[in-house]
Amino acid sequence: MAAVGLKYKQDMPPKGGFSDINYKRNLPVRVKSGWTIMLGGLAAMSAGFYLVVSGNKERRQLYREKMIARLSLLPLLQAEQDRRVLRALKANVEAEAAIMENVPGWQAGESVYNTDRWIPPVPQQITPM
Amino acid sequence: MASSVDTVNLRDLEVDELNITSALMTGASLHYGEYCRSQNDKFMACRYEGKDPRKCLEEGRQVTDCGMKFFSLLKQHCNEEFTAYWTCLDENNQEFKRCRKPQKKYDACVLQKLGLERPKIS
Repeated sequence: MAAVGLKYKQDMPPKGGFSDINYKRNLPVRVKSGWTIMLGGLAAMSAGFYLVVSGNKERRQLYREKMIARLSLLPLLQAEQDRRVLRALKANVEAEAAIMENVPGWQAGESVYNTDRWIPPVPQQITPM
Repeated sequence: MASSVDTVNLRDLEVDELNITSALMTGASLHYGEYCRSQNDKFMACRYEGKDPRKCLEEGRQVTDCGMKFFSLLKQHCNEEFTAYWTCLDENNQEFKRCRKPQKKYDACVLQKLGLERPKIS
């Protein structure tokens, strides 16, 4: 097949030929001794641990601060909540009396429990419809 | 439904309520705890003793009144510093560590004008 004028690429060795094959023993120079490397690792680890411990302490302080803030506010919010719940329950009793007006023998707001202690109301009793 | 609210007077429930948002409350919380310590302690003691909100309405009213007094004092004396502080908290997820700079100014103002020190977290 006469390939006149046809240029093609052939896989040839690089210019200057291949480099020499390395067959000699590989004996690298010891830059640092084993003990030195371990000491360096130990130093890095202790620095890291110190940072972890101090970070944990700081996080604990922040958590304490947050909790103290929340506990200080608790009575204020609890008092408001108590009033809100009692208001809602009173409105419920009045609404019940209005609805069951014509039913004979119906006690509006009659307790379903056999005790006088405070039973915390179910959320459905309090949320406005 | 419990007839539990028969003993409750609607009059007892009529209290001037505080109209403030959470950022203000968080910002002022530590100083509020110092200022209203006795009312808060009484209310919580009453509440935890009987686990009955109907019995602690008077103490609750005192707690709210003390809160009103505290916040109006803040508004009167330290308005700008407190506003800067709670605005910062509002924008930073109410994290205390992000708002130390406005906090210092606010603490200094409260210490100077109201004589309240921020409780030490140790």
